[in-house]
Amino acid sequence: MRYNVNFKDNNFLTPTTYTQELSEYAEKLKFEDLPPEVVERAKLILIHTIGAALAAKDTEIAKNICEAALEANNGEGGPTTVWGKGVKMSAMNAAWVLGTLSDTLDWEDCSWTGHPSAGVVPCAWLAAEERKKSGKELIAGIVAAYEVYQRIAMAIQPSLERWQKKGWGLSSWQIFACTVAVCKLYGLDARKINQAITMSCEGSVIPAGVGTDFYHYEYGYRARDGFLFTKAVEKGINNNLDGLDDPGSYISVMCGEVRGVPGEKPIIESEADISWLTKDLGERYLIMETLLKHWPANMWVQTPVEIIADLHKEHGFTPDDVEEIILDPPINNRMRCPDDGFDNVMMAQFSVPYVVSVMLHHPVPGAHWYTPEMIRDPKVIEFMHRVKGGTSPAQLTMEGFYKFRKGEYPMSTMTVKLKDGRELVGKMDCHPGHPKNMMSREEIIDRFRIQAVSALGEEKLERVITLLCNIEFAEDLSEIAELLK
Amino acid sequence: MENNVNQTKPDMTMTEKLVHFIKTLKYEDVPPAVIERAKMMVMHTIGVSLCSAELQQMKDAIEIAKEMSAGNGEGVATLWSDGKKVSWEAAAFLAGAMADCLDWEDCSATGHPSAGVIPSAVIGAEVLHKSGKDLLLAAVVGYEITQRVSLSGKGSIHGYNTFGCLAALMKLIDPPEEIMNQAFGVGIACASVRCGFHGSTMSDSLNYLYGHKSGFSVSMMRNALKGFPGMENKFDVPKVYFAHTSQPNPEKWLTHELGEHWMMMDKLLVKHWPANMFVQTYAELASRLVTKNKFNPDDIEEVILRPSVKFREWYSDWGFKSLTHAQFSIPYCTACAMYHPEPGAIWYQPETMMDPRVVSLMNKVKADGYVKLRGITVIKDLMEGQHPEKFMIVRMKDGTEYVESAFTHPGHPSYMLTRDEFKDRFRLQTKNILTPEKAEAAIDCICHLDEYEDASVLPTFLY
Repeated sequence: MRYNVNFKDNNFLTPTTYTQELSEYAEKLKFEDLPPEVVERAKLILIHTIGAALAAKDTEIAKNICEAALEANNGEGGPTTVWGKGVKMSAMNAAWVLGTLSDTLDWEDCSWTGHPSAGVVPCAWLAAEERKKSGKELIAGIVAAYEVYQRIAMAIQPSLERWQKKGWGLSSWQIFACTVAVCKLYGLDARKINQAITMSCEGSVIPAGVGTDFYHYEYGYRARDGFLFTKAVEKGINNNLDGLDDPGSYISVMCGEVRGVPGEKPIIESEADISWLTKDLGERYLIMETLLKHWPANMWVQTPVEIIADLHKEHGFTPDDVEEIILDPPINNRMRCPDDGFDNVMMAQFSVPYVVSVMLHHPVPGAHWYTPEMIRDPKVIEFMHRVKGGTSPAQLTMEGFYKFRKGEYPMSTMTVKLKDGRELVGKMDCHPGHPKNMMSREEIIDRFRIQAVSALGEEKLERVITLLCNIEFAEDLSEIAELLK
Repeated sequence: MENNVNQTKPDMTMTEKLVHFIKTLKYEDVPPAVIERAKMMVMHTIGVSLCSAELQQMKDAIEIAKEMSAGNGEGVATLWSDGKKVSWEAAAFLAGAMADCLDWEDCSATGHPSAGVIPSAVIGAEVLHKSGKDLLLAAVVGYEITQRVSLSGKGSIHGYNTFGCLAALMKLIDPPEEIMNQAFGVGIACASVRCGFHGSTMSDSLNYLYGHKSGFSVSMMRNALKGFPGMENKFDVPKVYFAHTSQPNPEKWLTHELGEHWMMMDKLLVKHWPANMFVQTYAELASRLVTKNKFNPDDIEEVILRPSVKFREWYSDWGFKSLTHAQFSIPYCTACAMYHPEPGAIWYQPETMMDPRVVSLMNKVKADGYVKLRGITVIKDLMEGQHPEKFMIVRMKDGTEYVESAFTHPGHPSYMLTRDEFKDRFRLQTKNILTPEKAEAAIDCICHLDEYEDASVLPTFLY
């Protein structure tokens, strides 16, 4: 089982069994064993992610990815449905589209380590549709994928120093969210899940985080990779087990430093915390600690926008009334304010000034926030220059993550100075959607209506909501997937 | 020469220099010997790919490729060995996986560039109806870029192929340099980590990963052609590619003698046998011994290797299930070459890998000393011909002894196969897949690729 030539002194066995333990957990997890609140959270994540993807269906990114996927698919046809696009494709190509769409508006989830829902939800749904699985199996697949993904991702999180030096690879370890979701819905046994996780290790990408709008496409690439790797394993490969248990391989490469002199065997010093791999497995559901985004924007932009939205609702001021808005503390790398607007969507989503401005001009969120015209709209861009950082030291995003992982969130204070001299002040840490302040089912559904109405139309929208809220009673996902066309 | 790196602007970034080389290299700039090598690499890689279609793993890969191309279109590219017309990605995926399946294609100091470059060049030329010269030029560019990227940073052996595939595709598609530059950025965003379990767990997964790189590089190009402002010069941004590939001074290799030194001529080994590169010479000796002396392998008492290679000494009491494990075993391949001196997919069919006679002989193969390995330079030493002469001594049960020796095998850069030898290998590789007429037509087409206005004719001979 654990054969690895690097461990000659241990009878060629890897020293640990983490990969197998995770795989057995994923194989054995059943819907019936899940606490009701975990089932409910999985359903909310499902609804919210489908909504975020449907909301993105008419964006430039959606047009490009769908066009490319249709070519890769040899035209329309296949067993799975591309939500909102009216076409069917192979599961692999549909995953390429839906993984991308799920992250296009940056409106899905955020966990301690990235956006697992952009992989878990499309992959689990498409695999369920492809193999005609039930709603209960879908929910079990979503939970299994979250739990396994989150533990692997936590084990390989970089130190602050490494983060600053080499970037943060959230779209890299995303592969595990995708692979495990497909494995679970395909009904693979633990040995094959182990092989698929191991193949995901060797097929994963450098954790560089290159930025620009290709970042959104990366989620689609990982979702498609998850299908390909799982299909390969399902057909049958030999060996390729225990990828997380060779300390000199994946784990060390992802968060270690290679030291040594040329010509000598390098020493890999790892920062990994491998105890995370199986921490509280089956006892603590990390899916419960996932944040759902209330706004289509980066996670660190959520709270400032929420505060302004609340103040705007309460006091009814217009953008023209505003002298300036101060965010204190400012957030590192989230205060960008280019004079001519943005040349890519991602940078706009990462800008507190931009998102505050566009929200005040167009309070109902949606894809229109990030059209090429909007991210360069003179009115919006002019206003965003009125949003400034306060005098406190800037909040580092990594420090924010440390708080998030403790169940907290950084406190933000927004001060709106109106031209009439009034000063409106709002403070918040955990915005709606934070695990400590999770949106209710009704709130999620309200958000879904906003996200999905243009894709589904009023009548179908309500039918879809009813079906998704009762997904555990669906016998065959392929029968209801048509509705999302 | 217009493309000469010395004629680029001094303030160009490394990424810009790579892109400029791809954009400006002309067929006439490439020496005839390099063009001839490119043709032979096309022939050899297609040959070993078609041969692999006899194995179950590639039958599975064909099914996956067809699933990938599930639409109702007419198809733009041919599935090698199968003939079905599918999407570009699906055909490239299958060809990439096939190219590495028998471990018979090539080997450089950094992996198997042919498993990416050749599918990209041949299938790209088919889809785009480019000329044979365009195809060959794309292959040359692909090899030269893969070699330089792989020497300049430590990634995974399959991961390097992303850059060779992209380079070949860029040459065929010919977008503006700015788009090519962004395409490399996309490739870097999808660059594999330096991690593989192929060698450590003796897994066959690598074959699929080569297919993954060939197939999905097409997707990367599709996306990149739309333009990604901000994705330029990612080889030069400190926090990106080279921060994760742990090689000091990447600039030493990345643009090293571009257009002046053809690395595909001296850093690329062609495999004569379907086996790992360190196994080649032993398979060669075993085949020669049994062919020349016509002994019955059942009558062998023992086989002595003087010296052997320590990390390729895999034995088993019952045989192997994994292709890779068998391909990495000098004892197994020695036994296989004696029972089946004409190589082919038969070496890795389950009935051969667990054939009691082959297994018995494998366990009679013994090492008398080992090649002295100098740490991580072992592959470099092999490529540079610094490994010692190897002797194979066969002792028969009746006391007869046969000896054969060689420093290296045909296909080593210093001992390259002739065109006729490449042709003979191709006939052998494809004998169970192509009719003799089709095999000869494919050979003729490849040998005269430079005369074809539309190279999309080549895949019509490949099934």
